Amino acid sequence: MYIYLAVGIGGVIGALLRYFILIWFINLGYSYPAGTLCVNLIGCFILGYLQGIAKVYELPGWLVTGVGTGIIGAFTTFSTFSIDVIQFIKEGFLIPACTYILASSIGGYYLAYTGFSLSTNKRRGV
Amino acid sequence: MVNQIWLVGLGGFFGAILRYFFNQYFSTFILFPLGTFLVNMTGSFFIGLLLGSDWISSSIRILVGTGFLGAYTTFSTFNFELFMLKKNGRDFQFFLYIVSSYILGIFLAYLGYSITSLL
Repeated sequence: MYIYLAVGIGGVIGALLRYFILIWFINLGYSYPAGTLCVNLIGCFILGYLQGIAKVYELPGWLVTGVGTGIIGAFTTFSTFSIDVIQFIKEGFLIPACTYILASSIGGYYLAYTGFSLSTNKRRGV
Repeated sequence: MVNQIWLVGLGGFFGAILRYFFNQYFSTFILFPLGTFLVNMTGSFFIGLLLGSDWISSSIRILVGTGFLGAYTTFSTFNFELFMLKKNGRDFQFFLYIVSSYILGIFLAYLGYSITSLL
């Protein structure tokens, strides 16, 4: 039961961080998708790194779930990504739509990979 | 602004819990991680429904769209699961999971958007 509370509190933190970064990007003059892309890519790297650390140092389950599933899971978003693509297509921006999909998919995958590799390699180096 | 922070936080709390619940409930690993897949697909459909209906107030959009659905769906777990599938040599599942998530997710957002914007 406590694990649900940990995920919920993590969700509040993650959603707020995402919201602040989106507002910050808009204030800098960027469009919505730029902020979402940035948030999603950062989140993929941090989750990969965290899962690597969790594996190496055997962190407690509630901490990994609270931070990984709660904070980072809520920080990144798939629904906003999907609707951003539809908004691009609707406005006739086909090349930005494709660029956005490719940058999210390839970038997200490789950043999760890089994060995990960096934190698991640390142990082997020692 | 202060009011919006509460809405995002409240939505985020329930969104993350519901995603975790689905992940636990569908933890059976049939072809690929079904929990995250279902969460991302339903979330994409509902955000389409939400943004297609222009009569909905901006407070509800922030509570449900940015807060709840934003936290309910996840991009980081999706990519980490993809990495795990690839790492464990499950190339077919990797391919199926990545292609179906992107194609179906974008399609469902479009479907939801079309349904409510036509009403």
